[in-house]
Formats: sequence, C-alpha cells, structure tokens
Amino acid sequence: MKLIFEKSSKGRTAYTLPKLDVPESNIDIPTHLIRKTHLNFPEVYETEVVRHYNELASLNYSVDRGGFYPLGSCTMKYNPVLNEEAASLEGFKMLHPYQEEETIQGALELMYELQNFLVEITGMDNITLQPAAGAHGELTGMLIIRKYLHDNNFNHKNEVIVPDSAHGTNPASAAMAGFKVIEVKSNSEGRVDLKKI
Amino acid sequence: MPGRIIGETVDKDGKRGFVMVLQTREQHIRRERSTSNICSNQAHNALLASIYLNVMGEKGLKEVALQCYHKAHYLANKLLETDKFEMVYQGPFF
Repeated sequence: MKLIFEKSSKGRTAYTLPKLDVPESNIDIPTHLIRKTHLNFPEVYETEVVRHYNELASLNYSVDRGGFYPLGSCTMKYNPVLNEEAASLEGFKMLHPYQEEETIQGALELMYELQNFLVEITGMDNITLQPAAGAHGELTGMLIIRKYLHDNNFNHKNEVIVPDSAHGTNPASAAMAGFKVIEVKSNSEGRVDLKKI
Repeated sequence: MPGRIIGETVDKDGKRGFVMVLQTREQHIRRERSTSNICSNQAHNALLASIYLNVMGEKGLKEVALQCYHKAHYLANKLLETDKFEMVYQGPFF
C-alpha cells in the first residue's frame, strides 16, 4: 500500500477550525523561535486519512483476524469486546481521581467485590488492585517476594533467573526490586536452554 | 534519540517493504540495567499524534498556533483590564 505522503496532493486539507472570534494581537515572538522552513506534512482530505489508517489497521494481526498475540500483560492480551463496553460506561469512563468519595461508590463496590473474588479464587490472604499496568504489577510482585524472603531470613536468596527471551521489563523489574539478575541463554530454537539452568 | 528507525527495502519479489532496523526501547536493549521498568504503550499516543498531524497538515497546525496566540493574548488583556490581575512574567507567551 502507499504511504500517506504518496497520497498527498498540494492544497488538500482535512480539518475545520472554529473561526477566530477574538481580535488579533501583534505577534511578538522572538524570530529565532519561529520556524523558517516548511514542514514535510502530507496534504490530504479527511476521507483519505480515515481510509489510510483503516487500511493499515486491517493489516494488523489480531484476535478478530485469526489469532492472538500473547506478549505484554495489559494491551495485547485477549480482552473480550464486552469488557470494552463495560469499561466505556459513562459512570466508569468519566471518573476522576479527585472526585468526592460518595460520588464513586459504584466503582468502589465493583473493585471491592473483584478483590474478594480474587482472594477466594487464589486462596491468598489478600490481593491489591493498586498496580496500574503490567510492569507495575510485576514490580509489586517482586517487592512482595523480597519482603517475604527478608521476613523469613532468606536474605541469601537474592538472585532472579530470567531467560534472555523474556520481555525486557522482567529483568528491569527484578533489578529495581533489588535482585541480582542471572540471564539464561536461549537455545537454537529460541527456547530457554534447560541445560544452562 | 529516535525510539525507532524504520528502513525501506525490497522483498525477494522486488516489492517494497519496511523493517525496523533500530529500536532504542530501554527495557529491550539495557534489560536489567534499565533506569525504569515501565513500558507503557507509547505507540498508541504516537499513532494518534500522527493522525492529528495528517488531519491538520502544515496549514492547520499554523492556524491552531495563531489562534492559541491570539486567544491567550486576548485573555491576558481582558484579565489585566479588570485590575484584579497582574503579569507575573514579562517574557513572550503563546
């Protein structure tokens, strides 16, 4: 497919802006801050932008097109479309961290119940919903493990074995939690070489 | 330092293709020596920004900048006219 630059034609625009409804002031900006060269941006109609990015999106490999791509812990896992619907409900979508507590009771109830379900399913004493993303959860997990080792006099257990094929956040999180990272090489098939462990 | 450099090449049938020749993402290249373990999905932000720039183009972006300039100065002037505010800084603003 063509690049969007190759679809560009001089003079085409895709935007509409509100009319300037205030009087113009003298432009008083130091000249060295004002760009003197042209920007190399494509000039396209709105429909061309829409079609271009839809065409690109259709090249993506995804669960809707035959498979799922199991890397990453947040954005790339299989999320049923129904979850998107639920998360897009106005009451959840428009929440703000500084909102008064009495206005967010629904969300708190949902999180509390989820917590209880996870405790029951996993058999843990408690769980936390605090981590906001995959690498955050990974770090939280490593910190919990380190605290457990410390409290049980296992301070000599300070190494974490990570395959060189593991996602980069894995060794990064382990190192940030204070562990020494031992890397295990992959074999010729790109798998963890069990003999090296 | 760019986060990614994409190279253009041709495949065995002579068709144009693109390939990522450099990715400087810290967790990938520095692993346990990274200064951060966070790898949030910046590609989504970059994608939306590039769509915005395609929609606006050079002309639109310039118009947005001018409108921001004029509206910021209009607001500042109107606030000063009330005598309840004063300028904290004298430098150019936009």
